Amino acid sequence: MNNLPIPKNEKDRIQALYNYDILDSLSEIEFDRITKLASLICDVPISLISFIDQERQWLKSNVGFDVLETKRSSSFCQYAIMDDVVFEVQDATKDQRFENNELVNEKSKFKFYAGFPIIDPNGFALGTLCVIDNKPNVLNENQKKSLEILAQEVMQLVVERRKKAELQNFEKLFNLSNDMISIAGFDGFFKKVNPTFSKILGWDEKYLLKTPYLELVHPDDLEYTLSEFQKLTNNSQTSINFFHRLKTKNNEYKTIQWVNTPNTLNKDIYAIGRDVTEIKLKEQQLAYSEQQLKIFFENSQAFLYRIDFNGNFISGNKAFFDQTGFTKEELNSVGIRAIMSKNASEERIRDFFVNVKKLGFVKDEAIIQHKNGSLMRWTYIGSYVKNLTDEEYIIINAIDTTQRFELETDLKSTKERLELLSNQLQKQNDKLLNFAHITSHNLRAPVSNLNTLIYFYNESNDAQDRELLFSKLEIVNQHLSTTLNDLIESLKIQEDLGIEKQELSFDLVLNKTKEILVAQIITSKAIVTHDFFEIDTIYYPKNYLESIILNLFTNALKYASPNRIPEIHFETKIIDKQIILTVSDNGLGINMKRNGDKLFGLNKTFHRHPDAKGVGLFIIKTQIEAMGGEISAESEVDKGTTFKIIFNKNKND
Amino acid sequence: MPIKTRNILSIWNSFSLKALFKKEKMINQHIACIIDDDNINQFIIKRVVENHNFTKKIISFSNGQEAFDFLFNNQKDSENLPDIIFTDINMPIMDGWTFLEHFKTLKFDKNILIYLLSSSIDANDFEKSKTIPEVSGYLIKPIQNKEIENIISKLNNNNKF
Repeated sequence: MNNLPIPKNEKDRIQALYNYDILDSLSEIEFDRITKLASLICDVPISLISFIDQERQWLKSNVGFDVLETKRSSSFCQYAIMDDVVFEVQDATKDQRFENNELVNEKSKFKFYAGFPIIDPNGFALGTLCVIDNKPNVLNENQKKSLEILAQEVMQLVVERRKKAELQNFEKLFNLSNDMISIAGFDGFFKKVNPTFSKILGWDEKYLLKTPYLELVHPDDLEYTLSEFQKLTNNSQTSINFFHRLKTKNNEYKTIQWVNTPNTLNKDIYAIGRDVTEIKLKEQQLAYSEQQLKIFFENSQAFLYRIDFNGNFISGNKAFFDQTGFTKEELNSVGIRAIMSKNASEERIRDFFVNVKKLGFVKDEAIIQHKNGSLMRWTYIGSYVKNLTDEEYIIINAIDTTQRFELETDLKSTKERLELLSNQLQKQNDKLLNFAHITSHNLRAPVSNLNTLIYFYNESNDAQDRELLFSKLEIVNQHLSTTLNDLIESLKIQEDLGIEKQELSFDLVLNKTKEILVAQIITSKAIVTHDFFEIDTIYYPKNYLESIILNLFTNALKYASPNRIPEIHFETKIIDKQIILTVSDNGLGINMKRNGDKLFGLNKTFHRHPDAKGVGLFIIKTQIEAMGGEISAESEVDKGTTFKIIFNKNKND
Repeated sequence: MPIKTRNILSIWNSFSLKALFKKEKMINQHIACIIDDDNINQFIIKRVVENHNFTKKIISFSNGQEAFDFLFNNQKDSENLPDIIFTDINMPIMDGWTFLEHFKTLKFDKNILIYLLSSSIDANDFEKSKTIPEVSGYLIKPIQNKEIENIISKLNNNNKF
């Protein structure tokens, strides 16, 4: 079995066999006629047409042997295809090559074999036409020659059979193609058109074949179409490729792309057309969009330019070049860094590239430098773009916001100044109101009294009465001069904005004040406590803090309740970065409902007390407010009073 | 020196002070009451009232509380009760307004006129005074002559009813 014959060109032979597409096909009468004829000529009971592929021999036609295929290994034909002459085995039972063949034994029909190879035009032996007898036999020369002729006839049938199949394929292709396939004559008429013509143009085949095809061409495309055809007739080109529009049955036009190749022998043209109306339309739309975009790009007032991720300049519009003073060539060689301010940090530029890629776009401002060195402020949007070849770009759309920025800055500072001025005016207005109030309340009364007393004094003749009046005059005078001094003091505070501040300790100032008031504290047995744990130091004018603590301390002692031992507590706190001092007592208290608004006025007293002058609170209020602070009081009659000082009042409140 | 005392004094001199204190022939039959925390004010009002010779007695108090206590204790004693009260507004312990509130709660057998005295023209105070029926008038210190005359005639009419 190892000695089975394999042709040298076996691989190509098998491929050639497959190409004929004959294996496993249905039986065909043409082939059966040949086997019958072979059987008759050779006068044997069996005749076969076999094709041999890798593993088997397949029988296209058989006479006297009703089997479709056998193993290749047990076939006789495998020997026959090794040569191009008749292969004859007169008695297989006596042939060593077939002694183990399953088909060959005493009972079987296979005793005699003669086969002629079926050889295709390329020399491949595809199979055999063979005759078989159940007894030993031998063919004469005529019989052998007949077998050869018939084998050639089989080959002819196989070739034609394939051509027919190919033709059928072409027919299918012709009928089913989405392209318009036609044969056109130089006489101006179609000779053959496929059904796609009708599908696309709407005309039926009959109409198309009897109508000169140039009649269907759009009048505007006619000249151009003829010139294209000219290239074929004068043989300058072997094939033409062009577009024109053809009229449909609905009087519309379809754009058809043609590839036309002439068959010079028949003077015919093979014309293959494709409906590209949609594509053409899209192309036109695209071209239009592109054109519009280009116009927009070029004429845009905004500065448009394109750079790559290495900072190379790609392109820019007119506005961009006008605004920067650079030319395209200059920027191409230097890169986009040329228009960036020298102060722009590399880190920021790097961040820009990273963020554009990450987020798709970045909106920001930048300082841009003109070629002449002058600086501008641009507001821009950089957008990430990737082209068809996967190259990455950034398209930047910028406007010059220098003026807007300056205007905004200007407006902002103007607004700030106005607010400042308004605040100052408000303060001055408040002071003036306060001053008017002081004049009307605190000066008018003593001046009026002074005048009246002087009048009484002048009218009086009685020496004792005059002495009495004089003593009253002295009191009024003293009162008036004290009031004036206090007013001067308060005005001094209001003007004294540049007063020197220093670091002070609440604890030290309180101790110093205690020393001043030691006599009163001892007499009143007052219990004085403090808690400066949260904050003990403050940056403040020394005189003011001493005055504030002395006044509040004195007040608390002065208006102590006679029914209980005075308790006075000083405490500091920080709330919202504000330093706050509270001074609370358990004294007489003040009716806040009635006197709250007048508490800090000049010469206001709310107690019947020999020392009550009402100056202290007015002065310290002026001092505190001059330093940007605030003083307020909470009180309940016969319970006590708490003064609260915010030294550095938050501006926003 | 921002305060020009001299100017203020000269404005005051423009008032015809002498005209204020013309003595009139009147029967000294009324009791006047002065409430003011300032001794000088008390002294001056007292002297102005005395100069008009319509009082047989002038009683003075330093605040509303003292005056109220007196009136409360002498509610039924018409002989000692004042016919007219001049009261300051701003006073410690009890101010003029509170005094008026307390005054309303008292019952007297005689009609008592009350005048508010103020050292300044405070529009709010003036409007407020008009809403209180017990108040007969709102006077600015110093009291003008014509005002005193009106008050006296009102006092005399008052006594007829």
